[in-house]
Amino acid sequence: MSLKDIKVKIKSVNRTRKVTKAMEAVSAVKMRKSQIRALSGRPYVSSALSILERLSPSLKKVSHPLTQSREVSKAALVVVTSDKGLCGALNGAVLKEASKVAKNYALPKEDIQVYAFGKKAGEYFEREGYTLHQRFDNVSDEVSIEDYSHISESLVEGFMLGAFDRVDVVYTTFRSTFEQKAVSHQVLPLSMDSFQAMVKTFVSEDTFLTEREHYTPPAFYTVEPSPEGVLKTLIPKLVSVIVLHALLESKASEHSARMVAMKNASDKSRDLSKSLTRTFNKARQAVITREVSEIVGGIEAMAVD
Amino acid sequence: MKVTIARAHENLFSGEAESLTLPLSEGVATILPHHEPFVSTLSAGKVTVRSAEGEKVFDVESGVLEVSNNQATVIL
Repeated sequence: MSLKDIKVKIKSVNRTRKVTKAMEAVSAVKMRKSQIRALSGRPYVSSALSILERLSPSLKKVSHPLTQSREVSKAALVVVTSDKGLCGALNGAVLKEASKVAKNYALPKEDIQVYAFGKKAGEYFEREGYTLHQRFDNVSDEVSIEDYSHISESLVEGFMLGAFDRVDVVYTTFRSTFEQKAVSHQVLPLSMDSFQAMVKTFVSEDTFLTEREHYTPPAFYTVEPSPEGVLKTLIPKLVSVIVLHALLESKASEHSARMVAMKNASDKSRDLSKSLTRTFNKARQAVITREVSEIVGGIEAMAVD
Repeated sequence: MKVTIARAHENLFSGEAESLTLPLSEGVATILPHHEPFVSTLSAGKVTVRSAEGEKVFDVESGVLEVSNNQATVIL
């Protein structure tokens, strides 16, 4: 490479670094906000689970249409990804998990309805030839209450009417800034196990959860007005909270993943620019050395005469 | 009595309280410390929490109350 080429390359690497650094800073701020939001939703989920857990002995005899499993001939899949890329393996992992879940149904593609939350999910499932029931944009940094209540209402309605017999959600769970994991949970028919599995993905340092552990439920509850009445209020809430939880956690994961990806990119470009500068200096020194030796050679040639 | 009141996306109240008044489906009721294990649904109205720091009032549309082990949990 000539001196000029190297110089151009150094400049372009530095420019890239400026962009990635800015994105890193922006993501860091968004990450903090969305992390707080994701964590603030957890007490609700834990409380809902503990109510369900403690009630389950007394509620055994009662059933609710949303908890009854039937033979699966049609399924719905809610996939939560981001709208924009540049966030490492985040979306790839979610889509991989989602295709695995879709394959496990062992149903023809037209019997699987996909609720795609985020552009990446929409594009992917369209390409794969699935029926997109509905697609949502995931641009805003805040999870809108309308969106999630819309999804959960539509899921509950579809399940009740028999439009699908099983609903799963695939999203990224937020463990820490450096660790996010794509997970899938069964939403409908609602079962204790799937709800428990979801709560298990929470960080174990969560104080709320540790407090809860040393606790044995009372043998008997007074239930008013009736167990059916309680379930009727509680279960639709649980469905919507699973959806909301998936959206919040995915948001926090997205920003964290992007910040880490951008940090790696900035670090890498710093290294690259350093090594390019070294090459540049070496090349410049080589030119100077050659010129000096030419001059010295010339003087010596003249001195002989 | 430990009281937790949570909405899906935010935690409204969490801490010690002296009493908790809520609009249950069978009428307005006040829960005092050491209430028996109790589960009920909420209808629309106001939830009032009285604690050492004073009173706090929240508007609710629906929800579920669970009381056990001197601990009341309300999810809205």
